[in-house]
Amino acid sequence: MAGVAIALASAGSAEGQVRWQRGAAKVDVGVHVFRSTQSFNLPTAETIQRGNWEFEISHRFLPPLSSGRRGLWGLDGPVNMRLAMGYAITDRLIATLARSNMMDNVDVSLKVNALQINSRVLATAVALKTGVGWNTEVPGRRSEDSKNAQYYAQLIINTRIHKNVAFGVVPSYVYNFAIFSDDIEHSLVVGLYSQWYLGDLFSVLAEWNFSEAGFYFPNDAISLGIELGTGGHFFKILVTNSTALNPSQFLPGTTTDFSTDQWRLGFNVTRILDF
Amino acid sequence: MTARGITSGPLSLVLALSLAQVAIAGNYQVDLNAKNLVTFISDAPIEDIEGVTSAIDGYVSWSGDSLTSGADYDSSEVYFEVELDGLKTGIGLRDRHLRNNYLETDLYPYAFIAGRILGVEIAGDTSRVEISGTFTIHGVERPFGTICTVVRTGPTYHVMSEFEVRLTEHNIEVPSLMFLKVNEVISVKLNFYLRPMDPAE
Repeated sequence: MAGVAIALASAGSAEGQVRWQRGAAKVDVGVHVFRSTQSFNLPTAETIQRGNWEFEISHRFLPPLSSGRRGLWGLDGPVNMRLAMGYAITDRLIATLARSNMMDNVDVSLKVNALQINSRVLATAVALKTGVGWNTEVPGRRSEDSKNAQYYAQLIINTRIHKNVAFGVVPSYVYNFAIFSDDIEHSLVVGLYSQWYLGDLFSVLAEWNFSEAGFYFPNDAISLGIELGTGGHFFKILVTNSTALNPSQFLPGTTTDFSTDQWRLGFNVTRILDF
Repeated sequence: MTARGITSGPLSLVLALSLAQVAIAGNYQVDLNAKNLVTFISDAPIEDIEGVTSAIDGYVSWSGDSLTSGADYDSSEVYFEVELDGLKTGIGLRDRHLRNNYLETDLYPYAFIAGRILGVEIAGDTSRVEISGTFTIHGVERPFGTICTVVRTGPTYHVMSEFEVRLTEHNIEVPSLMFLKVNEVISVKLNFYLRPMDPAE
């Protein structure tokens, strides 16, 4: 008998006589709860790809919105601003150097994305951030004065509670939050933020930093606004009662309350760069 | 080679069986341990974007001993797939945009070619193999054909091919970079290795 035909069952292939099965395990793309590496003033658990850089420029306009048309609702300034550059040492570790014009605070920090839980119900990412903020231009003091140095450590827990709604809790500790006090003051702060993604581009974001810095900074810092995300850029526009930017200055709280006549405008721009 | 012509006796049946095994020797699959590379290139006014991945898998089968011996390709099969989650453009955030917003890999995880071999043209160690069938990406299937350069290196074949994909034909939104659109025609380059398929039980 000529030409014995052997028909093979197909497994894993669309049709036909050949047995083939997909060989490799599926690519793991990781758990990404938020899209940006930061909310308005607090970090998210997100890091960036190894070797990429992240540039940031942010403003907080000092005159409130209520100052009206003459001051262009605060946009005329003056302004507290921050410039930062982060570098991804690994896919999960980013080192950032930042400078704010508020007492010329220079901030160096490390953020590590420590844990990712890939759950359909509650996808979660946990990160840790720690840094030092050195106030280099303090009135009445030499810049090398050790009382100018502040330290902080943050635990960042992010969860996606819905397909388009992300939620973050950031308990933080600040050492020497009140640099003009005689003693070293410590503060424990809990930041909360939630972001609702309305599409590829646009989302709304709310942030509330619960602080207990009492005498020095009696009010919690609250920020509300929107974020626009394109491939590489995040633009955030917000109203807030806090004009501090660098973490050691922002976390302890603010002297202004969140009534509407105290609202200030602000923006954050971040851009991923690949040299 | 087939067992045609041998018509009698148990010996001939054994011979027929062994030759039939040779007759189905044209089964090759992508060698996942080799340096496979799939590249998607888009020319944009501001910069060229290149997405690369090694996540290619699939198989080729034909009845015939060697691809280049002028075998019969009527019942040949070609299937190659690329796992789009593996695409890297150099910027992690851009990769995520590509996956979530443009390619929607949660719905359509693979881009794949399915078809058959049309013909083979041999030129020394190298062959030009024409394949024809369909190309599917983002869940949309389109007719497809390309010519692959195939070089035999021992027991494996090195396959190279280049073709174009028009994003709009597959319902893929054309991304824009700084308000300028990326080229809607993407150039795809395949560079992978085939090894003999593991024998069937």
